[in-house]
Amino acid sequence: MGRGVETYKRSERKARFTTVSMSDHEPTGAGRLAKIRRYRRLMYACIAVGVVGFIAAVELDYPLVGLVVYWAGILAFFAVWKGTSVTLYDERDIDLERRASLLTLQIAGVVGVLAMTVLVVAGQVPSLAVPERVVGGFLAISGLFLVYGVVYTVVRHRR
Amino acid sequence: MKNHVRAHRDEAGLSQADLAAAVGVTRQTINAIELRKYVPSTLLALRLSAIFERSVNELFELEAGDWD
Repeated sequence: MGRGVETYKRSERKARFTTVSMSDHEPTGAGRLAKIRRYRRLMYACIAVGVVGFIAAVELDYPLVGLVVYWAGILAFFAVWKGTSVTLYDERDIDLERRASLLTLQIAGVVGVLAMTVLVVAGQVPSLAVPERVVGGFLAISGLFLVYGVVYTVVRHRR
Repeated sequence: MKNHVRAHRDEAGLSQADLAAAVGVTRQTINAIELRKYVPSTLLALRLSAIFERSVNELFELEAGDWD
């Protein structure tokens, strides 16, 4: 067994069996994982409360109250995320997000190309009326790619 | 890429959660590495090598398909 493992196990045993306050040492492996899960659940709960609260308030005809609840949920989410010293997301989470973002952009790209084709064809056929939502959707996708281009350029220059 | 993390972890008598805590990732990440669903970063590979006191080459192995 490597010394690295022995050193790790020694520090784990010390953390488990030494009576000290929680603030005096890092939690054990299982404790740290439980803490990560707790913080993650709390973050998602903040968002859920914000969104559900907003929808409920709008339904009850209190849109401004709903907006306040929504913002409170968003701010609480960021407060938990940034306020804790616990690493809530590791490199695999970041990799998954990167892949999901890429796939989203690829899907948006295909939809954008199809929407543009529909718009051009519809422009040539007077009897075809394009719904405003389709035009709005196309503009939104174009805007998304514009933002992506700007962000990509900034990130590329920073690294 | 092949890896021998599972074998070294078993040899060391560590659970996935223990190893995850030792290298600062989640248990799911260790599980994904062992199942070859995720290739760790250089930093994480070096941390694993430090914990097991093995070279990175002893933990991870290139396969023919990795050159394609």
